[in-house]
Amino acid sequence: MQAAALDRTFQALSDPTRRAMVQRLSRGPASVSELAKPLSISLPAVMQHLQVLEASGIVRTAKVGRVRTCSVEPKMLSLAERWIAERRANWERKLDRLGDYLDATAGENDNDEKDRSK
Amino acid sequence: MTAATQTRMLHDKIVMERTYNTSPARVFAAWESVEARLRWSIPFPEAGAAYDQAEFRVGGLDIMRCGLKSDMRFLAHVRYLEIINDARIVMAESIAEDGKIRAASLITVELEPAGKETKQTVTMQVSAIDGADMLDGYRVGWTAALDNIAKEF
Repeated sequence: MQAAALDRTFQALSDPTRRAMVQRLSRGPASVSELAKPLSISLPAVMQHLQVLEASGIVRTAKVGRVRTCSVEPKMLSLAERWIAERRANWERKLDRLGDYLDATAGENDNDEKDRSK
Repeated sequence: MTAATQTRMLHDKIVMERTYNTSPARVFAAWESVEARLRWSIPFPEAGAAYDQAEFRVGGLDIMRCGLKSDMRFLAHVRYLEIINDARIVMAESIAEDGKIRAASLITVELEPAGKETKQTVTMQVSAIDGADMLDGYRVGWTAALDNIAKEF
């Protein structure tokens, strides 16, 4: 289990952009747009990197009003705590993707829906 | 030492709400269909999942491997306890790694029509198992990892 957790940590940090993000956050919390600015990559790309960092338990994000603030996870989480945090982050992402999937397939399933509506 | 002194359980309840701009029937179908699930339930690009068995019916069992695409080390068993078309799915899920159980969860998906949209509530009651000995090793490993990473900056 230890090896698996470390694998995920290294996987998350194997990317230079993600390392730059962690480096920035090690100096203090930042909003997503503040993080994106020096990286010259799109906001959606930053969000994707953040999700990987969040799922690996390195970075924590919290949304206050319309602004999502990111910080380095300061607490040494136990394995089970990390497991649950990871699961929560993954599921939040999955449910967003379910919304994207439903938008992308709108129309193509119309017939199925009518067939099974009774 | 007995197993009970080496491990402890951590319990949590996670509630996640989403409103989707479509009918409950389409949201339900996205949970029902394995093909659809494989399209939306991969949380990030490096992640992967593969079904060994899929039985979406009351009493049915899904067996799935998941994790990183390069290393699908988790084995999930999902038993369907209740299915009400277009309205509710109740599942009992266990996740094992290296043949040892890591977490057991009761997952409930509730769908409610809200005008032309669908309000979806996913409630996850999760019990995760900590290994005390592994935990200490993990802490040491984690600190070492962060030290190594710091050297890269």
